[in-house]
Amino acid sequence: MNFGDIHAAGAPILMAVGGCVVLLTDLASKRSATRKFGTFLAILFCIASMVCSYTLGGQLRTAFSNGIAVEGLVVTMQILLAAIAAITIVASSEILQSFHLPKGEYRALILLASAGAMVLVQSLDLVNAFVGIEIMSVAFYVLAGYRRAQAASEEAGAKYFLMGAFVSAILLFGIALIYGSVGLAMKANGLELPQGYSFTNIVTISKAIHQVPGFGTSPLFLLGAVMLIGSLMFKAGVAPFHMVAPDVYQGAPAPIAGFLATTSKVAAFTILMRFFTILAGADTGAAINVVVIGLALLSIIVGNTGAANQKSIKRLFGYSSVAHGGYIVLGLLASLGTESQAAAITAVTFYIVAYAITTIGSFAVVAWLGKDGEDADAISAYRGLGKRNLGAAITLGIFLLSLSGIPLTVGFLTKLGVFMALLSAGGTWVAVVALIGSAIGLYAYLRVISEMFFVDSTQQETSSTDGASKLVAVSAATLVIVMGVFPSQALLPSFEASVTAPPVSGDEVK
Amino acid sequence: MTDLLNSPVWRDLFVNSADQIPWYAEFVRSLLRFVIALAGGLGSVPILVWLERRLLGFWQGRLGPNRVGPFGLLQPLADALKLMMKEDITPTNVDKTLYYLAPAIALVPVICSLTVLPWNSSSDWGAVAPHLNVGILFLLAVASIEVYGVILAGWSSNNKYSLLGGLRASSQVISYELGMGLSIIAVLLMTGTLAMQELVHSQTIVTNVPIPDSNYSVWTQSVSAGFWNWNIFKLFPFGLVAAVVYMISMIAETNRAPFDLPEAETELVAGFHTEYTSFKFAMFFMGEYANMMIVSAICVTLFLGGYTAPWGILGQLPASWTFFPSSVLNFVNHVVIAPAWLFIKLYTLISFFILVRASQPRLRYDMLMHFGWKVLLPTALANVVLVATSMALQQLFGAVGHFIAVGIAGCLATIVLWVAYLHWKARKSGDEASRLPIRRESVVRAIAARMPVED
Amino acid sequence: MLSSYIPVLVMVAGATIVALALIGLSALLGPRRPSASKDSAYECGVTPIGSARERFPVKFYLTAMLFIVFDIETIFLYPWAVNYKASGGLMFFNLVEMLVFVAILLVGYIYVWKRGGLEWG
Repeated sequence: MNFGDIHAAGAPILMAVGGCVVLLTDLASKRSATRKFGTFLAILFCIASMVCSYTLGGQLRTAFSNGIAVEGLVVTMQILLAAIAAITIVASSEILQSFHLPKGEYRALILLASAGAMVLVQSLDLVNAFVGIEIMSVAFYVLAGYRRAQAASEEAGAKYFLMGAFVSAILLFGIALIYGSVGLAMKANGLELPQGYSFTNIVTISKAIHQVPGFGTSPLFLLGAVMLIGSLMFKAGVAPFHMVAPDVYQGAPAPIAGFLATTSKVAAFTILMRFFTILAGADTGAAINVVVIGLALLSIIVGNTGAANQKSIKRLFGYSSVAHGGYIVLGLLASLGTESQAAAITAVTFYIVAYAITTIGSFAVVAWLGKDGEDADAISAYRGLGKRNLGAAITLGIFLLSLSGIPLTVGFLTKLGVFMALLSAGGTWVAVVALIGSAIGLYAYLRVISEMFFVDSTQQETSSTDGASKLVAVSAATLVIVMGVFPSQALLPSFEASVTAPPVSGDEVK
Repeated sequence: MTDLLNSPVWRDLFVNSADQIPWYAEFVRSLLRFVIALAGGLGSVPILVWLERRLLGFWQGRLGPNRVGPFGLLQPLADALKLMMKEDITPTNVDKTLYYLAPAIALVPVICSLTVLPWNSSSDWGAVAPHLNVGILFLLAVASIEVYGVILAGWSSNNKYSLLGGLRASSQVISYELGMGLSIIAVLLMTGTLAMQELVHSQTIVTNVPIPDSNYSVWTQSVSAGFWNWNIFKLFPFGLVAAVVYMISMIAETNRAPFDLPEAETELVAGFHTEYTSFKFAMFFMGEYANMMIVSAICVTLFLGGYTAPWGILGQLPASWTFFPSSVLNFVNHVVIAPAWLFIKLYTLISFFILVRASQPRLRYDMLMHFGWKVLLPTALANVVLVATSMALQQLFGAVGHFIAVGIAGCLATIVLWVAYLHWKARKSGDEASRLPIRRESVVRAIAARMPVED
Repeated sequence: MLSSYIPVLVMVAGATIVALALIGLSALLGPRRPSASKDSAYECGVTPIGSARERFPVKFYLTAMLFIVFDIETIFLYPWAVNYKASGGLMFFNLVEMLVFVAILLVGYIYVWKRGGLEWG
């Protein structure tokens, strides 16, 4: 261990230290006095973490005995995670105030969850990934049930905790199976463990997959891989592991729901992307493909149909997140083909970033329109919003259009990228099914838009005081449009640049 | 006779060293050592009971048991017989399985803790499991099972007193286990081993004594290097702090006065074993006393040089006594003198705990928990860190390093004590300013409400 | 190596046999004259009301959870402590590593203390 190692892991370390510092400062002083100061401190650590990630640059470097690896993709995702944490902390300060919920713990939990997500994102060793996922999840369980006094929130916390703990066990079991199968295969074929790598390291697994004939189709490994993929998909809220997601998003206060939805997806899909790069071009039979296609299509169908007739907008966003998880999985599927890999990774990265912005924005609108800290959850509350509060209606409309994938929003481009990658990978029928799913989803989103603009309502407008949420929502909406209209000028090139070198490929290993 | 002594089976069983013998020989040896340990462990329970009652009698200005046998020595035996012949009542509505299992679960771990306790320095016969290299860990693992017996007894009895006693006992035991575990870590830092036998050796001078005129294998002679090499005096004062923390936790672990809340007879009848009669009660009783002896013996082993004498010359017959064959000298050294020192230290320590019981009033439950969590745990943790700091500094600066560490410890202690004093003062003045008048007022009001109105 | 565990096996088996034998002994030797009032729960002569399987204060659960946290800390410290002296190189480095670990737990400890998790009474 040296300074370079600590620098490479600097972003999560800073977030974790930030969590502890925020917690202790909150304890040390009177409640009201630290309200502003605690927020300031938390944001400071988020920014420090972003700067630390940024200074790592785009080239691949490993640290802590090859336990973690950092490259352009990881840096992008870590900066995104830190940004999400900062935005959530800013956006939720009003809502916490009105619920009289403790803030110090809240900020600390957000920072710690982000630290866990960052560890997960940068881990090269599956054991590190497990540590990261646990740090993230434990903070999530608490956050999901953060409004203790409200039954829905408590239910969300309990459900999320039970399911999450169960899935963690499956994940660990999957890692154990992979560990065993890799060790057995390498020993049986007289292969050396790569110098400085452990058996659970993705690089070692990659070596086993690409150099041991028949390893990719061995039942032990496939079972382990499917367990690993399945449990990470749960963390990302993909069907059929989605049952918890709508409940959690409905139960948790809006900013927290936005945080849970985005952070878990960013972290889980990034590590899945890394795991999929080593499966690319390997002979794994049809098993993995079938499982991944099944999961993707199922979540697109379930998510879009589930969203169709919701009365609660947060549940709608919950189902929408399931559907979008499905599209991201389609991108991952495309990354399994060797030719389409680069395009697929770019598409998935772009999708994750765009989805994060859209979702944070949508939940910010829900918080913005809420009164007395109560989220504007029922869709009926949005009836005639266009007349009462045009700004909010347009902002929400932009997010809904983006979620449904209408051109000129970023949602269109992300879907386009995924479908293009999928077509070049030869998954035509899959793309067609996914398009049908999108069409179903369109109904759900347009229903809300028509409620807002084309139905009259007698409801009285309430003036919201939640300035922070308003700011977040409006800037996110602007970003959605800008990224949708000028993708090449805005952000897309940087993603291409950051992921041209796939994280770790099989040929890197001797 | 010589044939027997030289036969391979005999040699396997009693002569060859442990790494050369087949498993069944090790099994037979284990059985023998088990019997020795059981005799020493459970056998000293009656002595302990007698000692406690006599000493309590002495300190409380009365006689104690003095009728059965000389000085009442046979009293515990009479008690045991009486308990055995009493009716074994199983109340209705108890959870039968757990109710019957609980005394066994309380007693088995206590006997099992005897496994790693060394009573002399022989590498083959010095303990029940002399070669177990995870000694202390095994001990902690086994000792923590004991609390199950208590909580299951409390819960299965279907009695409110039992339940409360069981809960109190379990949370008390687990709270003080932390301080205990951390104080052991301080010793591990100094010695660098988990094996109990090596823990003793690290406090003594170890020599291998060949025995020329016998068939017996070489016996390791652990000669005391003087009591100043005991762990309790190492890295002064850190070793002492660890020992004190261990001793306090040990009293709490065994639920003895002044930490005998789980059995506080003024409030809980008899605590978790209220519903137990006859020999099932005796098993809890035996378990408690055996446990008390074992934790004291571990304390002796960890901090007080184990079975060695406080002074080298006291621990062995001098080799110059050539009119005895050297095998006899060694035998006496190992089988008589070493265990004798163990017992002397053990009973001195236990007498001290009986004195504590005789002189200290029982704690209140909140005080007990506060003490465990807010005083003992941080003290033990700080002590561990300071021991490590002292060792690291000594590696860098030599002996001066230790004084730097002591300086750090002194500053830390001063700050903590000062802050604690300020808090205490603030709370005390707060009490006088706010709480007491309110209480008086409410009392006055309550009395006034009951008084007849006078015109 | 494994043979060093034979005594442990013997000890556990022996202790179990002794304990079970004692339970059996008590059932065999004593007289048996059950009666309704003798077999009811002992509450100092008062007839027991309700079951004893009631809810009890959450404090006890909290203590158990805190115990888990700090006991695991202790267990993690064990291998470190055993290898502290023999690990070679600079002890100071090992010390700093463990200080980081202890500091993280200390944050939790301070938090629990300040939030009143250790208060009884």
